[in-house]
Parts: sequence; C-alpha cells; structure tokens
Amino acid sequence: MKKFKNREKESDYSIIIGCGRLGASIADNLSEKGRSVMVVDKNSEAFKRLSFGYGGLTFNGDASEIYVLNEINVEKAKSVVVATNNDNTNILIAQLIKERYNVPRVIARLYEPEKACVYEDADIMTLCPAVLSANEIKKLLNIDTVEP
Amino acid sequence: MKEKKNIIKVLRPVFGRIESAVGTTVDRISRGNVYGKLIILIGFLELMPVVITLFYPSEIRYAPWFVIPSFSAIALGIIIGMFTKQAPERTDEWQAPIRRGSFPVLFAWGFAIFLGSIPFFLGGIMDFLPALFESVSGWTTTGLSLADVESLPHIYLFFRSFMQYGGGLGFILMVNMLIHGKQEINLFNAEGHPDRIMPNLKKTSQTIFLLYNGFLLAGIISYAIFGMSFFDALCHAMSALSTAGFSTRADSIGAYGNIGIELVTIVLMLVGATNFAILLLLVKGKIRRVLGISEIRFMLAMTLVFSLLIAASLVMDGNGVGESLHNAFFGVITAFSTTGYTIANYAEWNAFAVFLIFILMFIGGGAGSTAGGIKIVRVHVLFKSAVSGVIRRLFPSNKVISLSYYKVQGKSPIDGDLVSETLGFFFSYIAIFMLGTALILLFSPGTDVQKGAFEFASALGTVGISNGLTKAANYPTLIVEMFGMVLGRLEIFIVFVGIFSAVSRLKKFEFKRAVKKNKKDKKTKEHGSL
Repeated sequence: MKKFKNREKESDYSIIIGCGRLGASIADNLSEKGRSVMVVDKNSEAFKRLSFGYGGLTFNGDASEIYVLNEINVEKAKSVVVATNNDNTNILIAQLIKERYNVPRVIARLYEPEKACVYEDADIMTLCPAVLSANEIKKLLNIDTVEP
Repeated sequence: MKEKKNIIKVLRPVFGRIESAVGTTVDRISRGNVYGKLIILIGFLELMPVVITLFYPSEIRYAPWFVIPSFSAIALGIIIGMFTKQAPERTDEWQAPIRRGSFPVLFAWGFAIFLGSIPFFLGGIMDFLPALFESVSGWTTTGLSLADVESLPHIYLFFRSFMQYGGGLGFILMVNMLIHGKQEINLFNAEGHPDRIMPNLKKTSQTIFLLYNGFLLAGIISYAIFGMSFFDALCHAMSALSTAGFSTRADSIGAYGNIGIELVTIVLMLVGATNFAILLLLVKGKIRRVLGISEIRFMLAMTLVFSLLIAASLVMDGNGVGESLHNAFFGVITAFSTTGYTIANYAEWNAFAVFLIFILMFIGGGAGSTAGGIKIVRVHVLFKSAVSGVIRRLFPSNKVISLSYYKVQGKSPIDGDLVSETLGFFFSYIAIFMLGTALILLFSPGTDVQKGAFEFASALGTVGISNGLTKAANYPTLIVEMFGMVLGRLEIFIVFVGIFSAVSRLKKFEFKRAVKKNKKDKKTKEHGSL
C-alpha cells in the first residue's frame, strides 16, 4: 500500500538551463526520481550528455531570448537551475527569469565568486564550484576555519 | 451489535495482513524484472473480453478460453516479478542503449501474439497457425483476417478489435503509464514513440492514453448517432482509431452504406494516422501551428492529389463523378492511414488506381502514430533532399543550401545524419518488401506478381487491404505475412537488433558455461592425478 501513497508526489516542474556536465547530471537525477524536467541548451549536441533513461523534455534554443523562455513555459516552473558555462549569461538569464516570470526558486552557478554580489538583493541562490571545493579541501586538510 | 464489533476486531488484523501482503507483492513486482510486469499486463488485457459476456450471457461458454490463459499469464508474471531483480546498471560494459531495450520489446510482442492466439485455438474457432495469424494481425494493427466474421461470437469480435486497440497504444507505453522506472524508460524509445509530450515520461504516457481514450469515446458516440449498434460502434471505433481495420461485417464499413458512418470512420482514421504530439496541439487549439507542421501539410497535399487522380481514373471508367470522388477519398485515407477499411471492392478498380493505393500503403501515416508504412516524415525528408540534389547541380558549388522541416517542436534541420538514417530505413523497407513478395510468389504458385506484391505490401505496412490472397493462402505464405506484419509494426531495426542481442546473450551464456565446465574438468583432473 505504500506504493500507492507515494504516488501523490508534488508535481513540480523544473527547468535546467545549460546541458553541460552539471546541468545534465541534475536533469538525469530529477528525471529518475519521476519529476518533470525540461533541459534547454543552444547546442543540440549537448543533449548527448543526458543518459538514455532520461524521460523529460529537451529544448534546443538560446534561453536568454524571451521567445524561448515563453516557449518553455518558464512561468509554470517551480525551480530553475541556470548552469551555462558563462557567468554573465547566467546572471542575465537568472535575473530575467526572476524579474519577469517570478519563478519561486532560481539557482545559478557562478565560476567567479566575486560576481556573487550581483545576486545579493535579487533573491537568487548562487553556487560557486570554487568556493565549494575550497571548503571541502579545507575540511580534508583540517584547517581551523575559525579566525581569531 | 457486540458480535459485529467482535467480528470486526478479529478480522482487522487479517485484513491488515492481506493488505500488507498485497502491498509487498506489488512493491516487489514493481522492483522486479520488466518481463514480469509485461506478462502481467498482457494477461490483464486478455481478461478484458470476458466483460462482454455480461451483455451476451449465452457466450459465457467461451469465457474459460480467455480466463485460463489470462490467469496463467498473470500468475507467471507475478512469480517472475517476485523472484527477479531489476538488472543492475552496468557501467563496466559498453552497449548501445537501443540494444538493451529492443529485446524486452520484442519479447512483449512475441508473448502477446502467442497469448492472443490461444483463445481462438482453444475455442475451436481455428487451427493453431491461423489463430496465430489472427493474433499477429490484431496486435500489429494490420487487419488481414482469416476469420469468418459473420459467424464469430461477439466475445471474439470484441477481442479482435481490442487487440488492435492495445497494439496501437503499445505495451511499453501502457507499462510506463503505471510504473515509473529507469528500465522502462529505456524501452520507450525502442517501441517507436519518438515524441515526448510532457516533461515526465509517466505523464507523457498518461496523456497519450487519455487522448486516445477520449477519441475512442467520441468515436463510439458519433457512430451510435449515425445508427450503429453499440457493440458495432465500440468495435469499429477501436479498430479505426488504431488504424487497424478489423470489422464485424464481411463487407467492412461498406456494409452500412451510410455516409455519416463513413465520415466518422474517415475522421477516426485521420486521427489514428496523426502523431500523438500533433493531436495534443490540436486539442489545445493551436491550429495555426498544426497547419505549419510539414507532416500535416504533406498529408493534406497527398490526400488531395491522390484522391483527384484516382477519382479521375474512375470517372474515365464510366462511374459517376460524385461516387468516384467519394470512393477515391475513402480509399486514399484508408490506404495511407494503413487502416484497411473498405467501402468498395478494390479488385474492380483499374490498374492505375490500384497502383496509386499501393504507393499510399508504402508511404503510410505519421511517425509516432498508430499507422504503419515508411511514414510520411521519412518520405518528406527524402523528397526534400532529392530536390536539393537537383538544386545543387543548378547553381555554383559554393551556394549554401540549408534544408529544414517543421516538427511539432519547431523548425529542425535536415542534416546528413538524418538523411542517411532515413535512407537506411527506406532501403531496408524496400529490401524486405522484395524478399517477402518473392517468398509469397514462391510458396503460393499461380499467384501473379501484382497480387503477391500488393498483399505483402499490405501486410508490411500493417494496412490490411486484401485482394483475397490471404483468405486462400497456405501456411508458408501466412508465415511470411506474419513476419511482414511484425517487422512493419516495430519498424524493422528493432526486430533485428532484438534478435541479434538475444543471440549474442545466448552465446555469452554458452561461453560462460563452457568456461565453468573447463574449470571443473581441470579440478577433477588435478584430483585424479593426486
């Protein structure tokens, strides 16, 4: 009977922008859990990174264009992950989605930690691989993180 | 009162235990092998015709022939589901995904065909091979039939149409609708559903299922409005929507002589021959976008041109203009939608008209629909690349030509990969057509080329328009046609890849056994020397 109860999952629609290593693996994970996913990339070759078991949609287009965002129904998404390989593109798309379409949860990936200030008052979550790995390495090296 | 409460108290743990037992069984099956799930599903499908006996109680004597195979299949499926595990994901071994998916698909279809033939055989309706033929023709949505329709009990008539309805949807799609698993998604592409409609595969399957059933309901109601009995309406709607073509009358749709019924059939056939994704757009009311899709344009143009040509040729034969147009239009739609319903006797048509129908059977319907044939999209792509071949020669060699066509998802380029894949399919289709025709001509002596070619094209395209050859055919011919139908429904490559992967799996198994045996022999030898 557990099976039937589990079925009533929250139906949330996630959009991943940028089908690189990060974007593709997030999309695969979500799809495997039975969530609704859409991946957008401007290069159709990028979709080859998705696993064969990926059950969601793909859209070939430039997500910094308004018509593309309209086409993929961004306003219906509960969360959007922006993970293209360019920080400035990420900033542009994340702001566009937050301001124009009011998506509740927007997560952007940033290579350059200094640019995080751009997002500060925009209610956009940022992740920086360099900072994350630095923290992990600190833990491995047992550096005392508390400064005097 | 008190007693009642006591009983409830006693029974509660019992019910609880049963509930949890069922729960764990369902859980284990859903985590088990995909084969178990497929077998259970097919078993349940076989059980459906029994419902018909509620309306025709005198036919209850045929029910056991459905119930017995159905229950044994369900039991087998449960056992397999309980005692197997999902194949672990292997990262150490490279295998093309399609290869992993094709064998279960082939297995599901093979099992369904076998199970579907049992009621005909056990019920004494026909011998084993004709029963198998009927089953193949049903599941593959072809509609070539050996049965004497007028004397067949209702439960069998329903079963024939129901097989086509299920075959039109596909087994993997039905499994995907119920369960969400990574393994099942792998199979989805292999069964020939190229489009994703929703951002989630389960929702995609459910949407397609709902659409399909919605059209079925609409079809039944419209048939009933035009004066068909409920049973006939149900059977015809199921068969027309899956572009299959089993009828409950010997003269097919022509037996009713009713223009309303013919119109409903035409609409249902067109719906069946249209890609599910396009249908969804249509239901959403985006008609402009639908009309922009290359496939739809090609389909409309083709219908117009071929109808007019056939009608003209019929008029030249001395038929009335209205009647000719009417017959030609119905004939064109029934041919390219690969349905096979008839309102006229095509054997009386002139050779030119028959040949045009023959071409349409080759072209077939839309990709990702229930229709068969080469598929309109592929023909469109080949047509465009052929035209560009001419243009390339007319202009300087550095002229840039970019080819594209409109899909549901929008504009899409026609690149070298697409063309070569399409050409590969086209060639295999033609090669199989030639091989099949040759075999039919070999096995049934006295058949002329035109008849044999037409009948095999009809089987390969899962059309089901017959010129009478099938009804009088001997067993080898039937076997050839059965292979044609299965290849046509599963789009050729999957069948070969499935067989190849089964053989290579078997070889691997043999190899492993040989290695084990070798080791054992060595051990015994060592023991012996000691």
